[in-house]
Amino acid sequence: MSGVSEPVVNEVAEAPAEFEPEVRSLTAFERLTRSTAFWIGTALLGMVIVFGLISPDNAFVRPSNLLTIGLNAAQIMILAVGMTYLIGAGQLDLSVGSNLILCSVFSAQAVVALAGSPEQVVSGEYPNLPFAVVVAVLVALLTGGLFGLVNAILVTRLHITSFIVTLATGGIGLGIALVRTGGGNVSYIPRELQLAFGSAKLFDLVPVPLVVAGIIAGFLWAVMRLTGFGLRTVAIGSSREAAVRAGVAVDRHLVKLFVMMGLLVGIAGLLDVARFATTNVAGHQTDALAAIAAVVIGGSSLFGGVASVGGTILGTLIPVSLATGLVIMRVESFYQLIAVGIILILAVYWDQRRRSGMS
Amino acid sequence: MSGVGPTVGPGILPGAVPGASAMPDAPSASGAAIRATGIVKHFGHIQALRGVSIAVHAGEIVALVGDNGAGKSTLAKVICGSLQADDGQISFWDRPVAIQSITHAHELGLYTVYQDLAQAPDLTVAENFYLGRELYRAGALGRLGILDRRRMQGETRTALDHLGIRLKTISAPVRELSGGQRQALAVARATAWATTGLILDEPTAALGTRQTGMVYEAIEAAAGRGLAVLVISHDIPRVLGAAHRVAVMRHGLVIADLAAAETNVDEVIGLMLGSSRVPGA
Amino acid sequence: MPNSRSSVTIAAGVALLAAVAAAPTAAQSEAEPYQVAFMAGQVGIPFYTSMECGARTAATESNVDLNWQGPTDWDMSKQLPFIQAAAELQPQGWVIAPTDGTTLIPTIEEQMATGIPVVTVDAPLDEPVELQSIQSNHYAGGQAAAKAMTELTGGTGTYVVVGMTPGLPDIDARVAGFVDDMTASGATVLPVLLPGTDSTKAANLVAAAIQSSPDLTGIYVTHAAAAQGAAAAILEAGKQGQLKLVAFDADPQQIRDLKDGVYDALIAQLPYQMGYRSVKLVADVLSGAVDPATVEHDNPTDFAILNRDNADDPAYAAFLYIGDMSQCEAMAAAAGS
Repeated sequence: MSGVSEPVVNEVAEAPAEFEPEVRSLTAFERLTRSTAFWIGTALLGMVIVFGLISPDNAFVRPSNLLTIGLNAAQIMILAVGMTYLIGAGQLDLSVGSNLILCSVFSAQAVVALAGSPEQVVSGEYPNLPFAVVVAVLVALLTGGLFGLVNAILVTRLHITSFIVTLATGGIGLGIALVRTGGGNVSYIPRELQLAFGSAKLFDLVPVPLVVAGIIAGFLWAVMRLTGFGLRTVAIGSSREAAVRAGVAVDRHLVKLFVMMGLLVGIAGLLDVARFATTNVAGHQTDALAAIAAVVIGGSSLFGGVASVGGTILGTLIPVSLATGLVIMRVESFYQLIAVGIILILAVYWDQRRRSGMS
Repeated sequence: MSGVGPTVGPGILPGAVPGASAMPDAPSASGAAIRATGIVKHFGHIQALRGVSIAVHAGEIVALVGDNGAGKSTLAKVICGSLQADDGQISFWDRPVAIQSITHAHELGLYTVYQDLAQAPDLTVAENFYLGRELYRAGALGRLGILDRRRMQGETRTALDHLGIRLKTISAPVRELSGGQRQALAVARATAWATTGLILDEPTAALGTRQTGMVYEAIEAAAGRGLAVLVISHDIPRVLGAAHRVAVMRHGLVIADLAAAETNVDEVIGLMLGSSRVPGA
Repeated sequence: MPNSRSSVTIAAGVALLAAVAAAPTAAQSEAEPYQVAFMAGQVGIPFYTSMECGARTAATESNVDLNWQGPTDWDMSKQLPFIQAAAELQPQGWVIAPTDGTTLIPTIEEQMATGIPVVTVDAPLDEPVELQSIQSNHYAGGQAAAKAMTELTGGTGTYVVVGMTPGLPDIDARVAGFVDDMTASGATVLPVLLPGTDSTKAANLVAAAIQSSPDLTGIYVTHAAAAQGAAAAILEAGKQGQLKLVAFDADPQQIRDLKDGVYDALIAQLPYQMGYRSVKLVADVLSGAVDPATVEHDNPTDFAILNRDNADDPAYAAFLYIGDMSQCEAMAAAAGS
């Protein structure tokens, strides 16, 4: 190199003023603390500890209480895990509440129709119950899956955004359910479903619906982390164009996601019927929002491209834990709605700040 | 090209399955990897291409230059499958082809690096590199669709090293890379999967000097691997420095096709603007 | 019951009804039936099916052509279109279950001013502008629940009440009646749980209450969705039989559950009577048999406390709601009218 005092002319110079960002490998600890799921988990743990300490007799941390929280989160957990995939791919499904009602109505009607003759059913006898239940399960899955397929076709063929499509199909689905039941609920659902399934406990401890939700959530967590299917899901959400140019069959993938969501809704509908031995056509209005909130709290991005099933699972537990904690503390349950709303805003705000600080 | 099961690109990726290359056995000495003859394209009343002919040989870097509206991007889109020509002939390795789509062009071994990069910002370098042709684990796990992330990361790193692209980590999301690194990655990905040629449309338009250097190193490495490379650029000095030949377009025609060594920046610019005469006959 | 909606819709409804109210009532010839519009608060639930039975029975007896309409949700924004449509037909009398306490006051006042009788059922108006209000005294219903609970548990211990959402006067009254009486006799009542119409939410909150109070003695639920949730929570906690569950309303499903041991007592209203008496009163006013000036405003219906002992008793048959109109004949016979 020539002396420092001489001007450097006509050389392809290194430009020291230009900043090349240092991109280095992350340590395991860094990876952990970068994940939103980790922080949500910490927040949840904190909440459990605080409620545990201040609740009378430490009632909050009793295993039966914690498991009951899980049981009450099970339905939304199943919905939210499916929603994680859709949101990861840049889609939304607002029709899950209505779809759930439709699945529970059809499957309940199937049970009542097939479990015995009308006279037997009215008087509480169900001679063909096992057969009826099998059919009901198939009916629920079929209904949910078809509903999802309709959503998928409208989104991919008509190129209408999923927000609008599922808003509309939600209304239609609910209307159909109400027509089928005349506005009321399905009656004479066998209590055996509650005893054998809805309120049953594995090893006398773990509620069966929670086990079902846990298995589903665990499986879908693995699929998202480990498989090409999961990778392509977030790729589509991150940049649809990139996925198309890379040769990914985007529309076909979206169909799979919507149908999967529909199947999950069918399962949640079965859980609903099994737990309460009735349909609940006036309820489920806020299921879609609760599922989306859980996904967002859990760290997935509403814009797609970043999805955390683990975060979602934790995200579903927070509202339920909060509600339970407030009751145990003898606090008016109005506050629970306010509290969940505040948590949602805080979670998203903090997550955004964290992300912009990282890159 | 989606689906479960072990999938490995047919390209020049180190460690790729040998014999899976789409290159023909012995390209003739005069045969071009990419040859376009008499390409015509209208958009309504506008004649974008009026009978363009150009050839790019294996291992050759051809710079395609011209003023705005000369038709450079349109020609690139026709060759890469994004648009269909109204008339004219394209052949790869002297075999005529009718390119239906971008995917079809990929199958024929021609890859394009777009100005907008077409990368998924949230995915890592390795994930972007393998998107659409992911590697799966061997055996039963692979059939279940489980990715072999370790192999993908390893092969990505090897491919980047071979092309002289230095990234300290490949497991960070692509959005954290600089513009030049992302561009170089795009070139590397296209190079890895291509067996015929690469088209690059303004690859260094928004980059600084050092980053531009990185990208051109990758381009030269691609040519070094035997690919035919067509580079569209406004940076005449830089592209002239890297290319073997330069083709000048004006008003929808290639008006000059010169060896880079036999011309200079002023002459090229003059031809672009119509103020110079085409040298020779 | 839920809240009122957009003032634009309401203003339009008011204008429409006011226009209709200007039309004079026609003189009635002997043979022609009276045109009466019955605006139910919510169709498709056994409570209102029973009410329809009473209404139609009275209609047949009193030469009334009944136009029965209602939304599938207790929601004024959904009920208003039905009222507007019924107004087009220019009925001679109305029976309305107001899904909101203030929205319909102006229009009912107008109708009454032109001599068209309006009777309300099931829920109150904030101002007593109608001819008569036939509803359960919900506060008394809460008190009946307290009585039932005390009979079951002796009246001591801790209790929890499940409401719906804040601001629904009849549900709030059902809660208040229970809370006042139970606290007066020395029991502890936990803060009211408000799960809306979400069974899962109800199950969640009740389960938490069970967890938090080892000396929880009884649970009182004021509406059907919450009842299902509470029943599930009790079952899941393994406390069926130990915790006493008292619920409002006697749907066929709830009757069955009562006999199965899920509920320990049901507070049954008399929707049949609400339907019957309201239509009969309107018909009597239209025929001149009753002078409107002599009609008392409040005409509350009774409650019955149903338990496993009396659920099959024919004397109480009139209190069991029916699920569909095919059972109406039996209900009318049991009601003795």
